Amino acid sequence: MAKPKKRRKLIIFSAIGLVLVILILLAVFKKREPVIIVQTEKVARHSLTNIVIANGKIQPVVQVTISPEVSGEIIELPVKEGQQVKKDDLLVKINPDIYVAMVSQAKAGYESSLAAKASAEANLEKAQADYDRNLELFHQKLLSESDFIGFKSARKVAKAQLDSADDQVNVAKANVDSAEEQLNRTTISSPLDGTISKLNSQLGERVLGTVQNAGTIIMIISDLNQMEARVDVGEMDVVGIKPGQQARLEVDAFKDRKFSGTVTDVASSSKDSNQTGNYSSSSSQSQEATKFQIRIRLNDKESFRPGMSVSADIETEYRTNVLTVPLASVTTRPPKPPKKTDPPKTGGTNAPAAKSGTNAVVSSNAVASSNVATNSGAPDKKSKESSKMLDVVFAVAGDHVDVVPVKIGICDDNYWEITDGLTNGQEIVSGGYRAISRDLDDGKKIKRGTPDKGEAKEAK
Amino acid sequence: MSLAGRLMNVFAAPGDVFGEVKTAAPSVANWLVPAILFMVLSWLSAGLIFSQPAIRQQISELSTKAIDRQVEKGKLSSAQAEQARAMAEKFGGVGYKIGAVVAPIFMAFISPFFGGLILWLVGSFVLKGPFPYMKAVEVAGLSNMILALNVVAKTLLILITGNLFASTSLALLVKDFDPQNTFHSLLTMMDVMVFWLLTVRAIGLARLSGASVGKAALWIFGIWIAITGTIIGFGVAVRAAFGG
Repeated sequence: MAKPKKRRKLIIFSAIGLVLVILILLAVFKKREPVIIVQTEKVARHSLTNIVIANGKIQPVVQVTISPEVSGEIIELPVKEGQQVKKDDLLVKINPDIYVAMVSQAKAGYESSLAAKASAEANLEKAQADYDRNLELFHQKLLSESDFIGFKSARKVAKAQLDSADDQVNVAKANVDSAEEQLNRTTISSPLDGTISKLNSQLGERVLGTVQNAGTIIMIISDLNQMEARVDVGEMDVVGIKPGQQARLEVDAFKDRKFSGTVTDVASSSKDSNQTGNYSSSSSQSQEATKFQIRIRLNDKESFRPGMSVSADIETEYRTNVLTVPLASVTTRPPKPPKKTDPPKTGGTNAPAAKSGTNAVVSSNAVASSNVATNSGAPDKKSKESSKMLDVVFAVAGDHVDVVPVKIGICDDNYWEITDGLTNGQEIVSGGYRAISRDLDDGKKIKRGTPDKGEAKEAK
Repeated sequence: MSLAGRLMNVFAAPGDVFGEVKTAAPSVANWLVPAILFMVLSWLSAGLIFSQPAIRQQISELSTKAIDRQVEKGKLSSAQAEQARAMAEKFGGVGYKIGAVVAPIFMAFISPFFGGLILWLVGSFVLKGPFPYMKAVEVAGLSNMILALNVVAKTLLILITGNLFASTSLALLVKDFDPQNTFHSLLTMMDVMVFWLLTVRAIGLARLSGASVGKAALWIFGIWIAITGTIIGFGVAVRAAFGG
């Protein structure tokens, strides 16, 4: 009786022990990785408009800076900021007293030079008469040669003195003109119909002329009827922008309104090069992004003010019916190092994306490496190529994802164009943000779920 | 039979153990030691489970899902949902951890006394084989060794499957287990360890009351079905009432 009981106990304990050992082994050796919750979408065809987004300021198309050409005290300033002015309206009058005196002085000098000229003419007449009378005597041998040469020289001197007096008259006349011009410049009139958009000086203020220095900027007159957006675009985007392209503009001051515009001018040199004229400038400048100024003429009339902040969406390219994925789907990952056992691959195309993601990444990297290898003796380039990040999307394959390197084209607000790597209808991961940007990798397990609110915020 | 012998033999020869318990002097260790063992194992299990990122993710997902359901049904505004999410993120994990520490204490001490009460009531008044209440507590306590084993098995299953709701029940076969699904809840009741526990308790009841094991088992399983049915029905009623 005791033996079967003992045997039964042994069997039961062995069974319990065996089950526990199996469970423990499974628990210990099972790869426990968290399942990543993602949202998915299918690769689909859409029409895309490539948009370059740029920020800047509203400025008038025509804007004139008013600086005096002569220095002095402002004695009349009949305009104020914001005032509309017509062409030739008086803007500023600078104290003319000193310039009036200078005109008088110049005129006196002129009169003096005229008198000197009259005297020189009289001298010449006398010298000429002496010369004519003595010439006859000289021919009749009644005058010595040395006396005759004396009369001849006197005539020449008188003639030269007249020429000099004539030049003095011209100089004096020019001085008069210059002084009058200086006097005229004490009065500044508007060169155009416009609005005083900026008034820097006040009545009684002393201003500097622009003759020998930068001069004082008294005011800025703008034609507010024609406004443009001057926006800055990065060097990567500027190549796609051309005059005539359309743009949608949002001016911060006019909320919920969109304005249309047309690109009129694309800067041919960057703002930095304009400022410094030296591309190898200080390190702080070289660290800043290189920006080019784009001018967009506003088609709509509104009470824009110079300096208002504007955001422009410039439509640079348009493509119809192209393969697209959501913007959030595309991310970058470093290429995986090629396996040593992999045979060297040649050829220019990437591996088909339908294959396993690992293979795709490795093989595309292998292609890059083999291409570099043909450029013999370029180890630096090789290392640079291999460290270059790849554009990838995560293709859904059952309960896990494959990393698929893709070639991207243009994009709009919602989609990237995919030129290589994916096929129409393929299911790819479109969210969440954290999963795509950080968590997902080749072979990671996924589960389709609803987006987490926090993640949605982070993605924004 | 030593205490260790009783604790081990309850798995393999429960009849012998309970036969000895019936005749032996009352022993607190018979229910206290299994209770302490259950508590300690439960705490260790909780520590192990909550250290798993997959489980933590599942917990956070559960909170989010529950809040989303409330939003879908219009019971929470998006602002309130946002607040609830923030609270769940902040305190959700803490709540689960507190639960994992406190629940085993109650379970370990309520189970032998409540189980013992049922055994005593059925044995004394239905099967007409009166015995002291504390003897029933000892039987229920000793049979709780199976619950302790269940904790170990369940922990290992959770670690293997990565599913917080994994157990030795039929629910293990469900791929996407939903704790709010009534059918899934029913499947969790079909638990081999629970059946083992009930069978052992039925043997204990039979030994104490002198009734047959079949009769005792009929009562024990019947009461369990009644209690389980009531709990599930109550859950369904609550969900229906509050739209959970």
